Amino acid sequence: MEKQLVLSDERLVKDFIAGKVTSIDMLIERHKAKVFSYILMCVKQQELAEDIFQEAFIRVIKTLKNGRYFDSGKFSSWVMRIAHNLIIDHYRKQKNQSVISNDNYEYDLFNSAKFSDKSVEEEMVKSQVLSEVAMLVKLLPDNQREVVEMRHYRDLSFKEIAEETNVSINTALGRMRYALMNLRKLAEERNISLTLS
Amino acid sequence: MSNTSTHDFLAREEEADFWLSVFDKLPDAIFSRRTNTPSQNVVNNIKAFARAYHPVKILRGEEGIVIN
Repeated sequence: MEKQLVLSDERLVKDFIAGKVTSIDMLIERHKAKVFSYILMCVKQQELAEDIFQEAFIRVIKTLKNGRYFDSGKFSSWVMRIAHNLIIDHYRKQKNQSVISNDNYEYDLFNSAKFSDKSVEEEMVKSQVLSEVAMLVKLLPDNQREVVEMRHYRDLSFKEIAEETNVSINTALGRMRYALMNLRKLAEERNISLTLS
Repeated sequence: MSNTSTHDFLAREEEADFWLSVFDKLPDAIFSRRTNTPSQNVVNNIKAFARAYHPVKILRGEEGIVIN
C-alpha cells in the first residue's frame, strides 16, 4: 500500500491500461480535487460541475481502454483539457437553446405577481371597464360601431370587414380610426377611465 | 428588447480558457488537502464504470458476438 502511494501518474496509467483497475481509483483520488475545482470555478454550480467531472473521467477511461492515449505531459493537464472541452460544449449548447435557468439568479424568476391569477378586485375592475366600453360603443354612429364590433367582438380582419360591409379596406380602417377617436372623446366627457392594469 | 438569455457566452468561454491556464500552472500537490471535491457517489460511479467498461474493438474480435 505504501509503495502504491508513490507510483507516478504515468505508471498508474500504464497499469490501468494493462488491466489493473485499482490504478484508475488512485488517479481519480489523486486528481479529483484539482479537476473538480477547475470545473466548479468555471460553471459555479455543484451539480453541473459533478456531471461534467463524471463525463470527463468516463472519457478518460474510454480513451485509455481504447488505446488512444499518448503520454504528452501531465495527466492532470490532460484530464482538465477534456473537462474544458466539455465545459465549452455545455456553454455552446446553452447558447443554442437560449435557456434561462433559475439557478443563475438569486431570486425566483417565475415567482412574480405577473404570473399569478388576477385578484377579485382586478377582475371586478376589468369587468367594469369592459361593460363601460360596450356602453360607449353603442353610442357610436352605426358605421363606426359596426367596424368596432366586427374587429373586436368577432375578431374579423379589416379585409373581411371591408368585404362584409361592401366598402374598401381604407374606408374600414378610417371608420375604425374615427371610432377610436370618438370612444376616447365619449370616455373623457363621462369621466370614465378605461385603463386596465 | 434583448434576447431571452443574458449570458455572455463568449466571455464565459474566455473565462474557462483563463482558469485552465491558471490551474494548469498550479502544482497538483496543493490540491491534496482540498475538501472541494465531487460527491462520493459521483466518484463511485466513475470507479464502477472503469470496472464495467470493455472497449468495443475487443468484443469485435470475438467470433459470433452480435452488438445491437
